[in-house]
Amino acid sequence: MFGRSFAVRLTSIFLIIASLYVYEAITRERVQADTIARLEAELQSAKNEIAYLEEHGGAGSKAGPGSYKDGTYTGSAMGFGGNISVSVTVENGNITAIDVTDHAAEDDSFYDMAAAVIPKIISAQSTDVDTVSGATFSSTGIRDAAAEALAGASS
Amino acid sequence: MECKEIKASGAGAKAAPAKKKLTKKQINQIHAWVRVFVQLMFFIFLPSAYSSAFAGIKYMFTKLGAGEVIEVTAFVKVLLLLLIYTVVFGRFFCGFACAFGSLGDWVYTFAHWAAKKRKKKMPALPEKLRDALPSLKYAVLAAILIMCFMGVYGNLSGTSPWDVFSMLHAFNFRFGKYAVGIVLLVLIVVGMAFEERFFCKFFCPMGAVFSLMPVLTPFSLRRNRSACLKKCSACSKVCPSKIGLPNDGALAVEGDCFMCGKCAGVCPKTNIHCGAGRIQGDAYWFTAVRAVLLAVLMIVMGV
Repeated sequence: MFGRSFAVRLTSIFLIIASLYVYEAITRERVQADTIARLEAELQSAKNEIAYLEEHGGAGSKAGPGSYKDGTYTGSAMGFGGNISVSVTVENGNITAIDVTDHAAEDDSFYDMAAAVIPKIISAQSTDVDTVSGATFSSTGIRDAAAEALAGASS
Repeated sequence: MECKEIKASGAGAKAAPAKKKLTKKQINQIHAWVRVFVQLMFFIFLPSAYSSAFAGIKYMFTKLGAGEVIEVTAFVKVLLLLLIYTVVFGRFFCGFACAFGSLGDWVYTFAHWAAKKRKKKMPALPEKLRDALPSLKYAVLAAILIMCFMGVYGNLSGTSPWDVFSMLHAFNFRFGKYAVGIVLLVLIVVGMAFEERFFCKFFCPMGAVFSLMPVLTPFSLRRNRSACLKKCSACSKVCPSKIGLPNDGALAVEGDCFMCGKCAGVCPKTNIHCGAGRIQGDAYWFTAVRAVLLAVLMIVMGV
């Protein structure tokens, strides 16, 4: 059963690698095309906005300051194996950086995966984001630690 | 010959300065202790590799199902490392480095030691069942991967006995949603007590992946069948997977061989060796080399 012979297995491995390679190439191209289309749409809407503002003589409303108080805040929360500590930087009222200052109790590979929650928080400017599947405990820890830090930053 | 010399000199450095060749029994004992030591070290310091590697597989199938790009994440790196290592050295990772496998070995050893103390015999699995169950792990693997592919695996959170084990290992006792996982873990531990490598052989989805790998022959175990004692099957009897080893030069792949080396230790003719032929199956220095190499690779790859 399952082809005990070496040759069968070797062939299957090569087939799997080859099909993954093709899949990756196709998917990457599609993602690239999607990104280009999205950026073009954004560019167009920005152009429209500029045209509108020029027509109406508006000064243009810059992205206003965010809702947090400037400063650096620290917080910590339980990860998988212990506490995770973060330091959150707020500039112009926006979260600009989240540094994890202590993750000694997390396994490295899980922590690396969990760290993907940080850019999510920064782009959402909120800790109300989904955690990383496969590294739920560690990413929840980072998120909760950031939430605790930001509790001190709300104005 | 060369191999025996290395053995003798290695032992001279370690134990006594006596230049005597080690007896077979002594070699067996050293190999057994090396194995316990290696397993303990990996258990304490690198316990999460099996779940990271399997998370890599689940990640790939989740991405495939969603039609998204597969990035080489930390999990995928661990997966690739263990797969390549297994292609070269066989399931050495399972036999020596997997924390869950080690747990199984210790539970089995303890249960049988305790039974012996009480002058009782542990019941063994019926042979038919033992022959049929190994296919189950492929079903477990397929079921999990299909659910990942369909994007519904997230609904199963709290059911993984591995999660519960990792949480226990990390002294993380927030078991709120893990009732199913706890029950499964308890059942598995009970099974481990009765059957050697119960989980690894019958249910482990990561083991299923490993056992499908094309294992290269230079380091997998072989025997010279023509030199065997007539009707002797000591190696198959002591083997946790009851394998009848392939003959010298064969390209056959034994998916459920964990490289434990017990067969080599029990062989009355010292007839079990690596595919390349020079290294004896229970050469403890070779076991140590493989273990150190694996540990270094795992640390470098950030397990």
